[in-house]
This record gives sequence, C-alpha cells and structure tokens, in this order.
Amino acid sequence: MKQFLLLIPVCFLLLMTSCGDDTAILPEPEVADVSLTFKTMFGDNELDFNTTVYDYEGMEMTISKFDFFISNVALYKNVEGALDPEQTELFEIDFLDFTQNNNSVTIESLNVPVGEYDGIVFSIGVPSDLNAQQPGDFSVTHPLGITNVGHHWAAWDSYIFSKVEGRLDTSGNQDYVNFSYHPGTDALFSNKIEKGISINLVAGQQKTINFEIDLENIFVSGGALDIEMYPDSHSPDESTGAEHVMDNFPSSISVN
Amino acid sequence: MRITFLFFLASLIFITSCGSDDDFVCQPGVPGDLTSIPYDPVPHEVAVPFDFPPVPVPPNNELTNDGVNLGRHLFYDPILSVDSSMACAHCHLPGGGFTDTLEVSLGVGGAVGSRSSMTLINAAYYLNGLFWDGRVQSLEDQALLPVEDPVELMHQWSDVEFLLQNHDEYPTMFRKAFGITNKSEISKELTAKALAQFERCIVSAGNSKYDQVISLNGFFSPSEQNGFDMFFDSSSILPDAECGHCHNAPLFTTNEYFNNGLDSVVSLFDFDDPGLGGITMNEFDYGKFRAPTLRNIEFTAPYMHDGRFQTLEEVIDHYNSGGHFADNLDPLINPLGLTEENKADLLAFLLTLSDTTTLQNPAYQNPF
Repeated sequence: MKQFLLLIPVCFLLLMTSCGDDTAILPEPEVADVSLTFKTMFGDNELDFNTTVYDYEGMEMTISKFDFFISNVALYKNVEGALDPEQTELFEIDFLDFTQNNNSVTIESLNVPVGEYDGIVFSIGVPSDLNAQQPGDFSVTHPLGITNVGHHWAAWDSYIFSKVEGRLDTSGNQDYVNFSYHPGTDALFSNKIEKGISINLVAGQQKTINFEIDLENIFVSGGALDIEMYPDSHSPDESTGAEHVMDNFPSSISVN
Repeated sequence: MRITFLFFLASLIFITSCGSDDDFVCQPGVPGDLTSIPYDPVPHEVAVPFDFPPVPVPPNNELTNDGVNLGRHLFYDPILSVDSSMACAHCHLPGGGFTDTLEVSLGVGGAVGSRSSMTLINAAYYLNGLFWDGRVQSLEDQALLPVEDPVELMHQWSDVEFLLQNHDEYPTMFRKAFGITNKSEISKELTAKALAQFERCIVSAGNSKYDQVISLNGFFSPSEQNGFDMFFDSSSILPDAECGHCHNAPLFTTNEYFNNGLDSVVSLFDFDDPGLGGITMNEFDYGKFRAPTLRNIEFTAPYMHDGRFQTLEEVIDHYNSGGHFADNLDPLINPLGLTEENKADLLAFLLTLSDTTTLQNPAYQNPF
C-alpha cells in the first residue's frame, strides 16, 4: 500500500512536467517591433498604375510597373566623438513590387533593439557581393532567387535593380512611346542613402517608419528625362535612362 | 481501493495526454487494413542543371521514391477519366514537350477545350500560379482540377477514390507512398499529392546546346550566337528582340503574366479569353497569360494559349510586328525591326533550347 501511495505523486509529477510549455518563461523584451511602409507618389498624389494619366512635360504619361531592390537597411545613432555613426542592421536586401501590391508595400515584424536612433540608411539596388551571384544560388523564396528571375539579366551579369515601365502619348492622339528603364550593374548601385529622422524605439512597442518615393521626381529631377529619345535602358550601351533613374532615387525618397 | 483507482486514472491521463496522434494503428483483420505492408519512405532526390536551385518541395509533400512512383502511375493511368479513355499524359506527352501538340486540348469524348495544354517541364519552379491564367498556386491544387473538368477527364473525385480504394495495386502503392493504414484513406488529396510529386521531378536535364555553352562545354554557331545576343540584348550592333524580359534564363520564363498583343480589342473586357483577368477580375489583367518556358519549345507547337501559331517563325513574326495595341499591352511589345536574317538567327538560338534527353528520360515515361 505504501508503494502505491508513493507512486501517485510520482505519476502526477511526470504528468505535470512532461507536457509543460517550454516557451512559458521569456526574457524581458529588449526589442521593438518595427515595420517599414513604402508608398509611391507621383508629385503630391499617390501613384495610380495604368489608369491615371499624368502630365509629363505637356505629354500624357501612364505608369504600368514600378519596383526596386532595397538593401543594406540599417538604423543609425550618431555617437559623439566618433567619425561614423553606430549602425543596427535591419535586413540585407528585399524586393519591393508596387505594381503587384497596389502601390504600397510593408515590411513587417523587424525586431530591433530599443533605443533612440537618429535616422535610417539604405541603398537602392543589389550590393556587388550579392550581384555577383545568380538566381540559382539562392533559395527559391529569396528576393534574389529564381522566383524573381525576371530581375536578373545574364547578359549584364547583374540583377536589374529597378523596373520603371509605362507609356507616353506624345501628341495626345495615341502616338504612344512605350518606355522601360531597367538599371543594373555594379556601377549603378546607389551609394548609401541617409535619411535623418528621430526614431525612438520602446521595448515591446510597435513602430512604423514611412517611406514615400516620388516617381515624378525620379523622371524630372536634374532636368526631365527625354523619354522619346531614350525610351529604353536594357543594356549598358543604352544607359541614359538607367543612369537618370538611379541618380534621382536618393532625392525622390522621403522618410517620416 | 480508491487509491488504486486513482493510480490507474492518473496513469491513463499521463499516457493519453502526451501521445502522438500518428501512433494510431488499425487492428489487423479490419477490412481494408494495410498495416501489414511496410512503410519505409526513402527521400527522392531530383538532379537539376547547375544553374537551377534545388527543386522546391512543400513541407507537407516531401518527395519519396514511392510517392513519385505512385504519381507516375496515376499520371499515365486512364482510371482518372470517366470512361477510362484518358490520362493526364494525354495532354502532356513527353514526346510533345509534355504538351499534346494540339491547338486546344481535347477531353473525354472529344470535348473541345479552350486552351492549349502547357508543358510540365520545370513545373516545380512555377511558383507564381499555374495554368495559363494562374488560377491555382500549387501543383497539388492544380492536379485536382482536370479530373472533374467537363472538357478534360469529366470524372467525379468520389468515384475515382472508390476505384482507387478497390484497385488491386493502388492501395499498396498509397500505403508505401503515404503510410496510410487503411485503403479507405485513399483520397483525392493524396492522389493530387502523388501526381504533384511526379510532376515536380520533370526537370530539364541540362543537356541542351544552350546548357552546354553556358557551362563552357560548347560553342554556339555564329547564327545561334547572334540569336542569343538579340534574345538577351547583349549586342550593341544587333536589334533587341526583347525576348529575355519574359523568358529569362535559366528557366526561360519569368512566370509572369503579359498581354503580348495577340488580339485587337476595343476595351479590355472584350478579349475572347480573359486570361488572368478572369481570375483576378482586375481590368488590367484581362488578356494576360502566363509566359511559358521556352525550353524544348521546338517540340511544343502549336504556340500561344490558344495554339494559334503553328510554327516558331509565325511566333517571331508576331513579335516583330509589335502586336495589337491595348491599354495593358506590355511596354516591351514593340515593333522590333528584325530582318529575315535576324529572324533566322533568333530561331537558330531557340532551337538550342531543345533537350531530347529530358523528354526521353526513362523516369518520365509510361510505366504500364
């Protein structure tokens, strides 16, 4: 009888411990949940694909496609006395396809150490170390993987950093010029783009950082791109449009 | 006595609360019991060309030798059609580049479909929707549809399940493939999983002339090289044929959807076949179709979603013309200005994508 009495607590002890939730004890959160939201604009208005006709140098323009790679994204803190700010990497690279996502793309659930940051840095395009690889080198779901093979151009041995496509009616009488700018190659990879903004991340709280990309500014900054003369940029010897697009990315992006 | 009862109760709770749901085993002697048949799944490896990533496989349908074997048998078995006259393979013949080489596919009793059958080569990598209109997202979901389609196999899944459950061999094959314990567990979902496993294995062998050149084991002829340069716009002297934008290497498709200017319409809702728009109901998706792979394009005539072009020369002429305007005509569809020589060179390059070793791979052939 004593043996039975001894077995009862042993059984219950096994029952209680064997099915326990291993995740019940969590450390105090030291991170905030950060989202990045990207929205495309055309001047002061949200970009509308296909349907809205925009005025472009007195001609009618419609946009049918816009996407780009964003890379080396990090928050930074200015450190007194230090030459370079201290950086906290958010992610290495992602692909933002506005055409397929109704003009707005959100990257969610980035766990970032709490603190007060002074801004965000990033680049447009694919860094040279990644750009030296092929879609087959990545998992199929990676932004540079074979699912996104339309953004790799073997003839350049480069990824296509961005696609800007649409149509221009040069006379108002359906005299259409199709345009498609596909910048790529290491030479056109953007330098680090730095946007100063105070970002205070509090433990366990959600924070959204909003980006706006003005496509009109991409076309017109530094002088309007002559789309009729340079409707395509698909190869290094047709680089005028590609260079224009990449040169104007930094001034076309605002962060708040 | 009460203590004894409590002890057994506690032990019972302990045993049942932590058990795996997979541990249930049918008792031998139960009708349809399959547990006497060994279930020893062996992972199935798929060889791929050097510039392909590993075949993507969903975690709930890992490839096994027995799963692929079952899928291959089902693929070639007319048991899936209502009158046992047709199998999946009727529309996806290896010799036809895994198409049926008809303008539009014919179903049971000669029922006429509305679209040309698509090749299955490299279907494992079609991760942006399947069918010409992208209506399903996985091979497992795709495999469910033709069986009950009135212009395809015209069967009922409930009847197919009954036939498979009462077949002489399939219950054993399903047991080996999926570990089912009773033949009553044979379902349309498992049938589709097996078909998907087999289809996922139909991958380019990497032996085309293109593959040989890219892997530095061969050379293009001057004509083929010109075609390559136009296809990928890698020459400043030759015209840009704009092909690679939608048919990019190594798959020779980007798995995207385009209006490539086949039809003249007044409004986007006027396309005879709405394509992607019929699925998304987005006005600007009407008349768009998935760009198919060009690997083994030599064998998949006729071309386009409705098989309207009998030859590759006709296809090239279409693109050279710039196609018909529509509000969603892809901006890359423009008059190309190709000469007859340019067109011949482009064709020469397209033929370097032929790889009969893929089509003749014994693992893809009819097992019956």
